[in-house]
Amino acid sequence: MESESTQKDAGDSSSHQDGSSHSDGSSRQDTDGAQPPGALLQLWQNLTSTPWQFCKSVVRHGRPTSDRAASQVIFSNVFLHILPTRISLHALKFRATLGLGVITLVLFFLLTITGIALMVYYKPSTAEAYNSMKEIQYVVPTGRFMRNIHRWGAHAMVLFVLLHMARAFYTAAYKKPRQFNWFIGMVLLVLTLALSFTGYLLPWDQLAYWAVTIGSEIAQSPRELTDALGITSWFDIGGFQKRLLLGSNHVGEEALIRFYVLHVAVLPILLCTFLAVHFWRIRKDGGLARPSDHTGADHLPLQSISNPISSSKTFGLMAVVRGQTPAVNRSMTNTVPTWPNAIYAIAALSMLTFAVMLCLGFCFDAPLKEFANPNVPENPAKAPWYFLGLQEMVSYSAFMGGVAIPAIVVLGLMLVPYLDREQEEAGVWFSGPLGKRICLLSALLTTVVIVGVLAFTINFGWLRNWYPNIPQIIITFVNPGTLFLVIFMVWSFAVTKRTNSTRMGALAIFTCFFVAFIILTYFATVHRGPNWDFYWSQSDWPVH
Amino acid sequence: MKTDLEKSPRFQQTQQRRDFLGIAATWSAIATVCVALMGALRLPIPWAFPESSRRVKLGSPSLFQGIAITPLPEERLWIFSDSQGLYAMSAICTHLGCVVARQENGSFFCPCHGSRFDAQGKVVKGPAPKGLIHLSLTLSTDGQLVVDHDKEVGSDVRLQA
Amino acid sequence: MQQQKSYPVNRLKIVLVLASVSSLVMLLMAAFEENFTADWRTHQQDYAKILVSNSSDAATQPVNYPLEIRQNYLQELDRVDRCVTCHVGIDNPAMKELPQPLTTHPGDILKHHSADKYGCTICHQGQGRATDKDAAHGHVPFWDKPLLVGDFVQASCTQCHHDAEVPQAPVLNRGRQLLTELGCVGCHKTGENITAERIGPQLDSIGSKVTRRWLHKWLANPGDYLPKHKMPNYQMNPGTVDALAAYLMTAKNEKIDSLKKIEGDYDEGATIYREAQCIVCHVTKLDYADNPVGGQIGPNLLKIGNKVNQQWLVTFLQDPHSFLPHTKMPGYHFSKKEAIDLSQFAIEEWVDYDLLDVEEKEPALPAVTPEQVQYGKLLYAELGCAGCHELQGIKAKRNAPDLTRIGSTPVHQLSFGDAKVPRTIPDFLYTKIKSPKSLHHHFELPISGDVSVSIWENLKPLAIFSGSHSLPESPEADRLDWILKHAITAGIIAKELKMPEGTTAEQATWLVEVFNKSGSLNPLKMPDFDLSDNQAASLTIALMSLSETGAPSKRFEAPRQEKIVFNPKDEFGKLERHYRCLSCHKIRESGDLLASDLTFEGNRANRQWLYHYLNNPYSMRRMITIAMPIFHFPDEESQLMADYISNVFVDGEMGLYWKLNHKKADAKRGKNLFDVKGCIACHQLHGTGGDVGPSLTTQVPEFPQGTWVGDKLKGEWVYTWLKNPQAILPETIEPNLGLSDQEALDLTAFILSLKNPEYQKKTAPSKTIKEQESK
Repeated sequence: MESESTQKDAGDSSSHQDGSSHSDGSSRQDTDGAQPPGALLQLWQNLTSTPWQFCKSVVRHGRPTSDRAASQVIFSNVFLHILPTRISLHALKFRATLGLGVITLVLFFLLTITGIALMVYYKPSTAEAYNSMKEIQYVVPTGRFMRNIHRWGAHAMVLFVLLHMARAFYTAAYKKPRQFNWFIGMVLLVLTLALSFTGYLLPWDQLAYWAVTIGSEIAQSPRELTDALGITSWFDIGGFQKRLLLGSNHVGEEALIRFYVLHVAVLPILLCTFLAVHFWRIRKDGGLARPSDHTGADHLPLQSISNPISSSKTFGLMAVVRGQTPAVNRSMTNTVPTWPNAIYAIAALSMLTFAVMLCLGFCFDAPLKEFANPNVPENPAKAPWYFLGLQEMVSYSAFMGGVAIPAIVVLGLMLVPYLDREQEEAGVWFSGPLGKRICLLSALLTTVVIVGVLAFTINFGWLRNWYPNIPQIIITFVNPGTLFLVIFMVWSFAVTKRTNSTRMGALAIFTCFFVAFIILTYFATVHRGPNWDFYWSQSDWPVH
Repeated sequence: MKTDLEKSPRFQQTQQRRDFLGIAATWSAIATVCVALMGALRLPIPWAFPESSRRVKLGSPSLFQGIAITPLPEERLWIFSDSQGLYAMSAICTHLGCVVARQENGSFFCPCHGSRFDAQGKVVKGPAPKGLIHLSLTLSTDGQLVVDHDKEVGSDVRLQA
Repeated sequence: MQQQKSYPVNRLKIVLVLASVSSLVMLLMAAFEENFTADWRTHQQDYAKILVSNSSDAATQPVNYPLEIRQNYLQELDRVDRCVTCHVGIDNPAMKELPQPLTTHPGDILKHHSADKYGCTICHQGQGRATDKDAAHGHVPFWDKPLLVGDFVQASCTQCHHDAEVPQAPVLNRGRQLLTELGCVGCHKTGENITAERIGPQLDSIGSKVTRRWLHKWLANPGDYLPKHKMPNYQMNPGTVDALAAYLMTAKNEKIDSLKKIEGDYDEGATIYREAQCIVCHVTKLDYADNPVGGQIGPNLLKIGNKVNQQWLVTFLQDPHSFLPHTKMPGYHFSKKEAIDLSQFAIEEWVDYDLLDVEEKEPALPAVTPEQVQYGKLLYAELGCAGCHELQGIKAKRNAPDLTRIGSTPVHQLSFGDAKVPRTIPDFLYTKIKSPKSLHHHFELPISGDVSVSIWENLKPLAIFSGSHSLPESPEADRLDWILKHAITAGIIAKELKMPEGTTAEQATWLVEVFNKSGSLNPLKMPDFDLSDNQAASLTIALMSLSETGAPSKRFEAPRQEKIVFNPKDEFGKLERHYRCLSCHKIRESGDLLASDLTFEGNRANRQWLYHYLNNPYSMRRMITIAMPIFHFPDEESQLMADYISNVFVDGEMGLYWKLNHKKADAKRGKNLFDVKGCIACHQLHGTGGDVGPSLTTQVPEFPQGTWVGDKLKGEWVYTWLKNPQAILPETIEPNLGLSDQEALDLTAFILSLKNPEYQKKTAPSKTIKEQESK
């Protein structure tokens, strides 16, 4: 029987054995003789059994009642086969991942769906964009809801991408063999920010217009440096960037179309592509980072593979070659079948995210300010919240705060896995008690430094207030932003030297930047008012 | 013949237990997704279309009384006036929506697929499934003639005003 | 065999169930909210019910009223107005009695501006696309155009109606007139539709015209001198007043100053005063209840004796136009003697002796310093005096906020200060106009930066720092001292104050407190005009109409009506400019309606009568003593005017029926009609009758030759008048008797037969223009 079934499936390219095909009624077709009246009857029978047959052809395996069938659910499904058939218990632990990656993905799906819905009504023209927002709000069934979810989802996605990055960093998930996936993650972070930023302009209200104006000026800020060096006339990278982005010298119709194309086509395609690579690499790099099981079988020597199964072939390998590959499943211990455990975990987390987004969409309307007015700037004109930390630094030097420091930070983050190559336990938060202490110390130091410098500049001003004629180049290189950078780097080197560990140094500098980002964002959101002056709260803003 | 591996729990049917919780979880999730999709499918038809009302005020009826035929090309209809009163006839061919032209002899001709209609709008020739549509004429509360593009009336209905 | 590890999957299932169920509930709630709860559904249901109950026979006309979002979709105007979704009854006259939102649109404005052509928000503003009440009415954040109701809708007319006078918008018209009359345009730019003229008197010889003491009092508070005054109270501090007065007194006219002291004849002056009918334009006396009596065109003369130099008055009376080229005061032909007599009468008659006594007891004003003059000159420019007054060719700066587009300013750009008013444009404008100072906010020391610079920046508009445009380069403490010193020089702070000892910060705080107390850190220059609520509301509406939103499409522009200005270049024009007829009379849309409209005077009055009247005007109504002044026109001027009026101010069409058919008229039948219709109730005939209308036979003993109606009027005019008086004078109370053509002919014949035999003996020189031309 075994061999018979193998022969039957010979034409089938699938290497899987269909466990339930023995009791299959379709086998009659092959065995019965073909009689003319019988053929008609057969046709009738075929017709009546078509729905069942159709289902069978879609899902080859039976109910996932055995471990084997449960595995088949996973690996014979194009959408699920990105998951392993068995998954480590560690990866399922909530405290191991906090579910951040899944939440981000769900948000991306929600954003895609609501985004497509909004595209039905949105008109990317300066005259009509704002009106179409109003139409979506007032006469499109579910339109207000869709827009709210899209807006809050966009903010949430940026937040969760950042948190996801922090989680990956603190659990040392960037280390070998996951260096490249960390790099892809950084690309995804930049793409997410770009998506959110391009979407920001589309409503064409005051908020959008002025946030994007500021953003495009930041793109132009390398001019600050080239001006200072006197080379702008033949090397105007800043102006080039801005014009490339806006298609004009100011935010207008051209910019709107460009942002729209980026937002609905270019960036989503890029994001999806890199997302696919990101997921693929999770599998290929051995699943979620986790501590070793101490089974002593980190790398399965190929020689040890003996064929444990009978000669009846139930799996295929492309080739057997010498060499080592990363251990995908280091051992069977501490694993559970993915179906239904991981599937329920993912479903529950997704539905929870959905519920929270529905609640936000139901309770809070997405902001829509006045129609964009190029003559009347918002005061204060604030960028989206995730750029507010930058905007705070930009208020000292547009080039340093807006281009150089972010570029250094992103580049530094991308290079972290190559600079810190200490192999150690992945999946352990802060790499143990020492790391935890260093992170706490770094957070403390950052808080003191940032709050101190901000308080100082608010009370005493910065170089230009003391020396009105100071050349810009000096301010470009000596400003709170660069000061932070230098302090953090010195601290990180000190930690590296003291602990004799690059991982500890990396933890220190990452924590510094992460805490700095949080404090600066908070500060610029809450304490900056009109004219970028300091206020304790918005209620103190001068009333016009 | 079964190998040892096949006898292992991984290949065995596990004991079937009624997993009420699992069923509830699965179906509630499916129901939620379905309801959400149904809601989302409402989206393409807005509460109000970006177009003028289908009930159009044409002005005082006295503008049309006594004039046998008044073409209103912007509204794609004719207003007729006869001894019994006023009536309106759509100029849109009932076949595939082209605009019909009025011939010298009072009949109507559709240039797209050659349908012909007599002076009362009845199909004489061609693929049109039915005659030109007579539209409802009413008087608005402020005394203006109102045509309703969405409301068909019999060809013998007249508005006395 | 490896052991199966267990995983608490049931917990996840519970989470999934809970999350799904709560999502489901939220989805259903959202669906319910969207499909059933909207207010407009309730309104339309109510409306449908009313329609059913109103329709008399529901069987024949079934009420089929669909519940749906209704809208006026106006592509050309770029509007989608869904107001009619709730306001479903606006075009249904039967809904007049219903409350909002179902009620009929008030007035008949929809007849000319139907909602399906013009929409709603073009006039009413608000947010047309919105479908819930607050958003639609614009009472939500980030919608700058809240709903306009009542008179405020008139602010929208100017989008399409560009004429100075907008039909059916009286409040707007009044407001726009006020913008000119109050002198707003002197300091603010207001766009081309508001007439910009300097409304105050020219000040080139103010130093020779008024006394310095008077000028001080006037500048400090004009209300002390006159209860009603055009000049607003700037609430200037004493230092500012001193400096400004010092500067103004330097504007002398040497010719006047060199005149000798003169003495005229009071009684002669009194006669001239009566003949010249000064009272027509000026307040010259008080009645028994101390109310001013006299016209409002010219200034109130009641305390002129306390104000002006007699020499100046004499010079002025002889040739007012050389002092005030744009005055409405006519040129009289006063001889020097007459002018002296009249001025003597003026300064003796119109003087407040009590005030004189008080002034005598006051200490002499301190001597003027050159610094004060210099500072006063700066103030004159800075405070915007030049906007209303001409002086030595100083140009009006008009540096007050530009109002050209004030109506469409984003709300967050308006500075509300600490005022407790709603944050909307109409509220802002109204409050600002009613009490400008209520919208200022207290100056607060900046947290960072140079304190002295900010204080200085805030004081600069008051121009207390004469001649210096920047702070001295010195340490902070010295700068504060410098500011204090200048403020004391300028009289902003009382002299005895001294900078206390302490740190710079403490000194700055002290200084700011002092300045705040004196109100001088408030850079507001706008004076308080002390307007009534109505005036403020009209002004608000006029300002709101100054908006950048023009007509959305050329097709909606109302045609501009060219305003015809009557300003002929011929001889009559010269005379008009001298006697300023248009100060009282209206001719072809120009001038004022204080006296009669002369546009068709040639149809109305006989030339002979005109000639005599110009020479010796008198009142036709016994009760009214105010009449046209006696100008003592030279004979050739009277003739020219009479000819001109008879030949030019004519409508050839008027009373054509009379001209063709007057032979059919019978005065006897007319007399009968006169009695039957009871005309005598209002008009006097031979000494009997009412005083409501003018007397038909003036019988005043002093004027035995007074003209009767038949001497004065022409048949064509009388006939037209009798047929429909309101067609000629819309506001007249003469009833339209509904006379037939024949009756009107007869009555006209009777009225023309009323001629004073005494008057008929007089003859007038009958030279006509043609004869003059032929010479």
